[in-house]
Amino acid sequence: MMIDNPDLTAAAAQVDPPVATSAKAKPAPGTVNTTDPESAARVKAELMDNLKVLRAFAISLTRNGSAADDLVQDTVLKAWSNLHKFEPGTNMRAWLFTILRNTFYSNRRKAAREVSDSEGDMAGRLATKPAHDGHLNLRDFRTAFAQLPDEQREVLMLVGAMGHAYDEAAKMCGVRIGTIKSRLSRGRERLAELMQLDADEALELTDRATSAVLSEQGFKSV
Amino acid sequence: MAVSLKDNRKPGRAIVEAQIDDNLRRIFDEDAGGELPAHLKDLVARLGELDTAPAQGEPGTEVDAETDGEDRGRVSR
Repeated sequence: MMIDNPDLTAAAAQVDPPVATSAKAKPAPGTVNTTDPESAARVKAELMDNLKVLRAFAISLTRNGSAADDLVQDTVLKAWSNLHKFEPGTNMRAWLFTILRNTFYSNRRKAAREVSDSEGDMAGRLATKPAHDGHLNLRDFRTAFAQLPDEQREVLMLVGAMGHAYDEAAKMCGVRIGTIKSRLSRGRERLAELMQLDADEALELTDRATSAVLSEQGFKSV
Repeated sequence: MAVSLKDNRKPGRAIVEAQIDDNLRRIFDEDAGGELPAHLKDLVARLGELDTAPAQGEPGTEVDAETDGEDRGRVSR
């Protein structure tokens, strides 16, 4: 099969270490056997089901559609060639996310000397202070989001957007739960700052419907 | 917009965080709702044809590694 991205040839070589052909043992019982057509079809279907969310996660990390596609491609290839490490019945999406983000950070280290100018370019480009109707200008929000450090964007996506629990995110990111909470908090604070969202003002300007909901749920007026 | 009221944070802060999370979901949903590039779909469809033998110790696939250090699991070399 031809691969468009020339870097993937190297990536595939990296995935396949210099081991003797005879060392390619059959999958152990309980592991995924992709030589079985039914198993292979099931895995492919699951990979396909996760492709869009993988790509969305990749976009949040790379901030670039083309780079995200390359990252997803690398992730899929690595996942396929490492399926013997995947335990059937466990969360494949979480496993794929882990491979994707590890690949991203590995690539980032390799390209450490390449300085992205995107962050500097985006700084200060927010249009106007957002309306306090709960619907921020999505373009401005993306711009603000893109200015955050990779580690904060990652956690904001995993927990804030996708709703993963702290422990799940911690496992995927290979850090402690406290680190996840800290990154989440700092990321939200920075986003609030960039979007000029003030907690007191937000409460004052919350519309009557929201106030009614808050009241129903036990909040008293401040 | 869902507002979490389970802790003792100021209500205004909870509203701001809910706004932020709501917009995080919006951009994620927007990106996830986009059309997949054909080459990615094709890649998955043709996976069995690739000569990618099972790798040993490929960095980044050890999801069950202990997380006893800051960012330890990011990449294992």
